[in-house]
Amino acid sequence: MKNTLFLLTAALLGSAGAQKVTLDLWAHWGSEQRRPTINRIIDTWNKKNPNIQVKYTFVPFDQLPTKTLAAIAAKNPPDVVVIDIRTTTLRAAKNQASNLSKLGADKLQNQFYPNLWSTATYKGDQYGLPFVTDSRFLYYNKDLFKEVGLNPAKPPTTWAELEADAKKLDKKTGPVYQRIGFHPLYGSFGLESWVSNAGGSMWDEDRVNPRFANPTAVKTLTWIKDWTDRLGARNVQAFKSSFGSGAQDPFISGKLGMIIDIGGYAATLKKYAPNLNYGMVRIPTPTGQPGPGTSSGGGFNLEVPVGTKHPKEAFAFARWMATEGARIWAQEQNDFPGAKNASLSVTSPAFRMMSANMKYTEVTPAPPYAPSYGTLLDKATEDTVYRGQDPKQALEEANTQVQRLVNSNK
Amino acid sequence: MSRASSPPLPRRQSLNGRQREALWGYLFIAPWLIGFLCFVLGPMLFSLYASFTNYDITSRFDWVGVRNYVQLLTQDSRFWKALSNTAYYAVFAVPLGIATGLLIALLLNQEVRGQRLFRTIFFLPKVLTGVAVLLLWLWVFNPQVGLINTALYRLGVNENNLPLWFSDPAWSKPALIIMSMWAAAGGFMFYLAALKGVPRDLYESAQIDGASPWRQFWAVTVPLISPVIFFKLITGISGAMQFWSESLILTKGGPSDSTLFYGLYIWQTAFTDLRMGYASAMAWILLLITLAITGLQLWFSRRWVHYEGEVR
Amino acid sequence: MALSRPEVQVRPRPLRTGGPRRVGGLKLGRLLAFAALVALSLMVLYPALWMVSTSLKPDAQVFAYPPRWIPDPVMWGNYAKAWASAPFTRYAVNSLLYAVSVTFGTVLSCSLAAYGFSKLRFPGRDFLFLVMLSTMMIPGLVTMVPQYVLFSKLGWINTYLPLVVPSFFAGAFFTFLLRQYFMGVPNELLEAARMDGANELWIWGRVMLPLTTPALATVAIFTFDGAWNDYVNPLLYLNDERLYTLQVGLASFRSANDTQWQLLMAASVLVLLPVLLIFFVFQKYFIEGASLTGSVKG
Repeated sequence: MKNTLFLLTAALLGSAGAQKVTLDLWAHWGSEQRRPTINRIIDTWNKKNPNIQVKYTFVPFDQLPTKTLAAIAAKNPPDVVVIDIRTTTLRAAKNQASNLSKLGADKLQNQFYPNLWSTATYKGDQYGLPFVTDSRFLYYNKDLFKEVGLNPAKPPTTWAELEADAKKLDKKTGPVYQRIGFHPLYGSFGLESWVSNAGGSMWDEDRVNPRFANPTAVKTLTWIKDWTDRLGARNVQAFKSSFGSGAQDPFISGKLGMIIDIGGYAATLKKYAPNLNYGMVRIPTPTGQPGPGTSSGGGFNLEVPVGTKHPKEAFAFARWMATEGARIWAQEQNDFPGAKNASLSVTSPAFRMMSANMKYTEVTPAPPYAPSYGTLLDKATEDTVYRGQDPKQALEEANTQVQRLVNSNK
Repeated sequence: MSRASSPPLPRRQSLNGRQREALWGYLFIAPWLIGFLCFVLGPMLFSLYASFTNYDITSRFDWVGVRNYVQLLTQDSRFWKALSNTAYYAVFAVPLGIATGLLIALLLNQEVRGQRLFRTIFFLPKVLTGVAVLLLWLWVFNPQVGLINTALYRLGVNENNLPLWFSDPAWSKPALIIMSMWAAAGGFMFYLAALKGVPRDLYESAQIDGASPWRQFWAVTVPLISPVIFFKLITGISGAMQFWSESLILTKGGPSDSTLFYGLYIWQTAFTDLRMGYASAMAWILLLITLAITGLQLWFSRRWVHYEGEVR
Repeated sequence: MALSRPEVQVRPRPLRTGGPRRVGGLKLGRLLAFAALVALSLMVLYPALWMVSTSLKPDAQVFAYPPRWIPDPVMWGNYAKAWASAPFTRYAVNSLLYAVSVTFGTVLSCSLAAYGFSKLRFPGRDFLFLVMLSTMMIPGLVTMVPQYVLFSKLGWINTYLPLVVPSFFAGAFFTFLLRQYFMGVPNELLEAARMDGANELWIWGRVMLPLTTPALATVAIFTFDGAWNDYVNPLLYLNDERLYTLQVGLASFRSANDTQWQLLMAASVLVLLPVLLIFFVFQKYFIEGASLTGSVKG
């Protein structure tokens, strides 16, 4: 009852003054570590903009997409949402994300890293603003390098060096590996990332139709398969499933000599393994020369869902959040901001590396007609690498299935 | 709610006994019926209609006739894969789950010491839910240091023959089935509540009649708790057919689609690919399959389910 | 009033001799049952103990390999830290109110509907029962969105109404369960009351419910536990963090890249303790509250 009265008064007061609006912002930051920063960002905005007040709601990561979707379907969505960078074009195609070009987003383009900006561009229009991203690196254990006679100052730069170093780091007693130097599929770098790393792609130019069985992809998959065969498929899987959950970390425990992970992993290491002596370098490529797809990234975009009552105000806030808000975020959190200027104020080595790595980082949006292609590609990869299927044949089969999905969704 | 005063019945005098009973019947099921009509029927019919469209929730909703059904049954190999994975899971998980719960209930019914503590412990799996607990299972099934493989190794299984569980398409489903048995332990309460209804003098008379414990179990216990077993069978199958969230969190359908369950495929189709029309068609096919199995069960239940006070 | 016996076909046989042997067998049986229970409890407890162990670890030992069971030092502080890292006390109040109201609604409405389906005859009963069962068999994934839209049109989003109101309308699962128990109650008991002129509501409240308290208690505890552990529905329908429940609070320890395992486990232990405690204290009433062998004064 009290609440109702309060709301009623608030509504009356609101209508009496200027058109004061309250925006709902949904994002997945709820932990003790994240919350103070998002609160600070919101407070800063709210103080500056008495007529556009923002109310933040924490929605856990795994439920955010469904909750947002249901709210959009009910035509009662939040005004701004922080959501997976890889699926913005899907939501653009499905009329879930507002066209921000109509609200004047296009002139902001040069403030953001181009690889991130393009994740939210659909048919020439902009449907989201990049907020945070990440980039992947090769982490290597310097102490282990020393132990096996490798020079910790000379990490691998080519695939050949990577494999040679990894072989030296392997440690075996009898048939069982006590330590594995490196495996391409450990960590967060899958087949598609390796294909990009080798300068190829799994898709046609427009990222609409799959080209899974292209020569680069077949070659890359064969390379991973050969690597696995050398270690023994069973060993690789046993190792992988021992560390599959996230509750265990093979790099920290010294069971893996090298691993690929995001830039923010440095912070995890600082927290859980403060004494680990490691290096963080660019991911090796076949030639040693970096290219636009050497590393891969993910992250989050700011979107204004279709159906918001206050699109203009929502965009104004999203724009500020993606630039000024991102600056505050970058200073306090380990995420790399999508706005170029926002990262400048942070001078930590990891951040500088990420900044330098941006032009070698590909953020690949999920194709709007086959967003679930990843599971099919994973199956092809697993069937080849662990279960002896022919690389080309497995990729062709997956291609057929994804193509069917694309055709029926177009 | 146990007001003793009887609410006035309309035109009581003109109703005969049968009619009055029927009227009471409708009154008693009214809570369900009203809820069904208000909250359940609409969304169900909506999904039925959606299954004949290309519905994607937000941008299109066009009639496509039976195309989704035809595509599912004739072109979609993952549909059949998901169906067979689900059948595998249900065939093992449902009976094993019932056996687990029943075994614990029977043991607890033996009036052993520490009843309350044991009951609380076996209730634990019901309380322990959520993502955090699911991830604990990755420890249990960890091929190198997990509880199960450590035990198998001690029992003399060669290191190279130890199952890789969630990494091996042949062992991923058994792992999930073992997990489901653990969760089913909490179901002992259903049986225990029914067992407590078995009059003790029945056992005594059976004992005096010289029936072995085994025979007592089949002749006295099973008939009396058969209604609950039947309940667990129907709801267990229905639940197993829709099983999905564990596999999403633990295996994401892998390795090699070995844990791509029907529910998980629906989830992926509906919320990753946003093909809600297609997903709705899948859901209705599942409903029909489950309903057919239930119909058979109801038919067979006449032979083995014993109701002390059935009203036909 | 005497209870009718189930028709048990135990053919009369000559009495066996050797009474003492049977007593010995009984003792041995109990011992075996005890041993089996201990073994099974250990299996059930294993993941729970691991949870407790992780909850007491310092940061650096969460990822220790091979895993260690006894943390060093034991971080009791994790519990206070976990509880303080989100408004858990408020969440606990919300969870409690949610679980209690859903439990009340479910026990009330399901026992009414179950009585109708089990003890009364009316045209279309068996068909409606099958319809009710079929509502269990449609995957909620495809009815979720239309249901959300429906509740949104009613203006119920961001309130507890979509979570609580349906529980007053007899869900299929527990109605089915109670029907099964109710069908085990001999009709003679009800008939006697009817002869005395009692109406059906009175019989439901004064004869049926007291006779089936273990079943009702089972429904109550499962419903309570289900609501207490419900994560998806509160999140779907509530938009105001002040309304959030414990399970949503637990999710705040998990994030895309960094999960605070020890805090998550500590909070999980704290969240499950109340339910376990309630169960431990009240289980006597759940399971031994009444049974058909008890005297019934209809």
